[in-house]
Amino acid sequence: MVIRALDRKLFRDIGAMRTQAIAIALVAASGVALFMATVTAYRSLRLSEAAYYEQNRFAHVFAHLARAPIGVAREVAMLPGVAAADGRIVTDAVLDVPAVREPATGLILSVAPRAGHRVNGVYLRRGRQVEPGSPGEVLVNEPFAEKNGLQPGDTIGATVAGARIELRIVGIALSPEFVMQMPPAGIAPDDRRFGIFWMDRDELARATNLRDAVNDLVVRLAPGASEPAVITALDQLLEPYGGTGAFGRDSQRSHVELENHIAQLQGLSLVLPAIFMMVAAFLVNVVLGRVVGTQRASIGMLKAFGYGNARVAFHYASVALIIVAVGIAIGLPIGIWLGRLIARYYATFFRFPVLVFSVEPFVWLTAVVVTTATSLAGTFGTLRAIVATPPIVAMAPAVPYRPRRLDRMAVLRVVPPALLMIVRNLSRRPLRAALTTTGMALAVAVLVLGGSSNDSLTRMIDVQFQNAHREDLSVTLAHRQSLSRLPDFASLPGVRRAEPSRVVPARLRVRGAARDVSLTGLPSGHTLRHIVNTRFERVVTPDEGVVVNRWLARRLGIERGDEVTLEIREGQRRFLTARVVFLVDEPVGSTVYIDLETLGRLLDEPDTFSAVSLLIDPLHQQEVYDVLKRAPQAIGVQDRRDARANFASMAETSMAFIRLIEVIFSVVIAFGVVYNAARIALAERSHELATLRILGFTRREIAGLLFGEVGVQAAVALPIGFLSGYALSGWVAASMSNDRFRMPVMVEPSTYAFAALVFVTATIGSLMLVRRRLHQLNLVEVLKARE
Amino acid sequence: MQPVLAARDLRKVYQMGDVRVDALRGVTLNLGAGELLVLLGPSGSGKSTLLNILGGLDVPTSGHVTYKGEELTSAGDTELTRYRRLHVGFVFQFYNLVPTLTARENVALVTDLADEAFTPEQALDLVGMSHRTDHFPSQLSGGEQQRVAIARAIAKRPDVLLCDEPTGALDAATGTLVLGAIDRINRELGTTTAVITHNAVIGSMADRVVQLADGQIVADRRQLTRQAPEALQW
Repeated sequence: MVIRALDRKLFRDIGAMRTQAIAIALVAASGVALFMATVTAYRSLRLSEAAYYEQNRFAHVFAHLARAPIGVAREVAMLPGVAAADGRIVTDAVLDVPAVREPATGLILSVAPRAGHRVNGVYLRRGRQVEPGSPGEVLVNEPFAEKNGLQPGDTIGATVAGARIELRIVGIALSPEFVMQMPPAGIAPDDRRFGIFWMDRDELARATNLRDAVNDLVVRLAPGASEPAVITALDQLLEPYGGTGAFGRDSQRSHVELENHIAQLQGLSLVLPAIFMMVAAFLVNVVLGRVVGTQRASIGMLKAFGYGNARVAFHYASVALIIVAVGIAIGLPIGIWLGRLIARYYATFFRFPVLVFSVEPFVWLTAVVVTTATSLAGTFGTLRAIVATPPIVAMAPAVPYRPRRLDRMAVLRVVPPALLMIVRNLSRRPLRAALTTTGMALAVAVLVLGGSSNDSLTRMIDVQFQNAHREDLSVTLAHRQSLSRLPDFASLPGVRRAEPSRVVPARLRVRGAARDVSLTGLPSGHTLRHIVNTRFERVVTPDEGVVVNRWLARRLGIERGDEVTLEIREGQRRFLTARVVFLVDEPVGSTVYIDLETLGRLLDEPDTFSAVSLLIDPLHQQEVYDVLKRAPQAIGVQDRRDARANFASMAETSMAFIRLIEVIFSVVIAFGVVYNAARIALAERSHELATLRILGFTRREIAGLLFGEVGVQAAVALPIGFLSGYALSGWVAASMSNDRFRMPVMVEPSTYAFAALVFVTATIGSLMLVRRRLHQLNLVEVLKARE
Repeated sequence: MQPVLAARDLRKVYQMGDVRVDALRGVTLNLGAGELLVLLGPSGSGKSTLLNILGGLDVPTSGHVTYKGEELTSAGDTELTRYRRLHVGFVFQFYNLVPTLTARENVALVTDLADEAFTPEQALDLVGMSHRTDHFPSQLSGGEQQRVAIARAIAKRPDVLLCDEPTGALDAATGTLVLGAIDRINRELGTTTAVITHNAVIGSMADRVVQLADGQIVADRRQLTRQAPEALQW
């Protein structure tokens, strides 16, 4: 049978172009592997997170309050939609950890006697639970214990509610509430200087003077319950007890931080594999086009014999299917292996006590279907051409070069013929040239994207820790203090400057929309705390009115000059109205800035502050630390340089792996595209190039002609890749922005340079491989053969 | 007088699997300056192999080729490329023009390589193609394409012009025009020319006709008069 014989020929053809087929299969495999890796890792984290949350009954709704009788939890549990509620005591503490020079801070939470938790269970890793009636016994969370070398049996000092107590560690624990240990004023988890402790309820009640009372509630919702409804009911119920406003998981700091990381992985699991699959589809398209080109006569013959279009088209589509099948077979196991690796890496990073890893059928089915479909879509154009070709046309030689009007331009007389050959060859198949250029540009774009996430983070860090915060230490106070107490800090030995500020939790309301913000009062002439946008431009706090974050403003539809309402969520619960004077592109936080004096006046609490920024003489640093470690009024101390290093290292840890994968796979794309482009050009033009060799062109000269074509495309692809990389970065940055962080879109020149370097190296490398084949051109053949 | 090209006892053996093909079995041949030589012979007689070796595209299994006294048989790829680039012009049966370049650009491709070349226009004028300089190969007839190919071959003023079945793909009338161009180049520029053909009639326009059969020279005759190509009939 003719088809069987032709099938055999087809397999031989694939064999003959095996290097190209392998290059395509590898690109397809990269797409599949990357997709599998990121999606399975992402799913694994989601499943592990859910399992962890479920097993430890992580709360859905959280509420802080000043003080309520212990029975309030029962009332809350009766609210419609509430499945379970626990009342507890949560208090800040300044810690004196022997291993830490500077003051560390912590949270101490009460654990209910014996019955344990109905909500927010603590997962004991080592040691034992605390015993009721044993003063000072605590569980400590694992990261803090590890970072500070703490073991069951160790003791550390703590200042709680102005009094010094000893914390005796009896166990090491984890909690879904503190997957990420976010210090109150920090923007990154800090495992070393921020600890979580669990203490027997009665013991903690004694230390905090909250006997038979609670100051915090955690609530689990019944299935199908409405969270907003429960929050509203809870706010009403807790109003008389000084509730500061209940909130859901979407405002719980650890959960939000964890979600940010997982969302980042989710974003990557879409963008990168999509790019790889596009490139693979394009390569399959180009190569199939080439195969069909060489098989025109056979196709014409088959059709003349009476084989139907569908039969012939299927015959050639099978080339694509074979190559893609190989790619999938390579990509699936590698992807699963990588996914497990990434999942394990993140699970360690997040300290999930359990890691759920499974390859769900929809994941690999999606990979198979999407890869096959995109590749077949890629071959569709070629197949359509086959179907549309009448037998007689298919059997005739390919259409020769058709001159265009441009070719008659006089200016072409001064253009070297070699350059004209390159340009006209490209213009002969504009679609293919465009696709090749696009493929190359995508490789560059992925490299730019990878670098830009780093650039954006660096910019964010620079803005936040170098320009906005200029203090050495910032100290958060337990309660507001009169400004007359400022000298307590200003006059410490080694303090060069002390600037007060006041931070008040508030709900920003405008036209029915609302957002929780921290209203921050800064003194006029402040120098240690600047309001800076992502371009390092400074905004000065106006005497009247407020400065609002542009991100927040956009979300709430606020414009400059608008009047907004600020519902103060502490003390007397006042409602303030203020005019928005400036909008500022701050990368971190949801802060509304106001003049400190104005804030005091509006709150009817003039001349008060709740935080202080300090500039310290480095020689006296330890003395200041020692004082603050024992200062009863300080509940949080943050060293700017430490915070910076901490934030940078966390970002580095969570990004490094992904970045490496991006670079490797970009090289695969660049190589796949360039190698195939060069091989196809060589195959199509070997006759022409051999002729030129006979006419006396050197190997170097014909290599120049051949690679000039690829070079022109690469040169065009580079700026396009830069632009699309920038656009992609913008898209990824926007998709990763939230109330806490806005990634500025930054691409530094060094990132472009790195992308160009990697791309050019991959290009040259693949051209060198093709160059070897140029030496094997058969010159004698050419004398006799018709092209 | 020293010959431009001298071949001594050339042998060429192709080993294709188990099959051994003796393409040349001891060919000795001198090409004098300005000579127009026609190499006649049936398919498989070894004439193309001989031309390839003379043109520096292939090397003999044994024997020697010298160009103006310089050994070609021991030359490497770089020297052979240089030899072809500076001294040899090739004309192919199927023209082998670059499809994306006009007639003039095809010629310019080669004139850019040489120092004392004709301008592309001069070269095209020599073959009677000055009216078609801006046409692409696809816009030219077979005979016109072959004349452009000849212009490309001689534009760098080569010492040797090697033509492999230059009329093989053409009808008689067109072939005559192409042969006229070769004849004119040989006469006016004094280019040593070798034309391969299986068409015995073409021999009449040569100074000398060498007949090959089965890898050996079976006849080598000089002609006192050369017929004008226009007078040839086949």
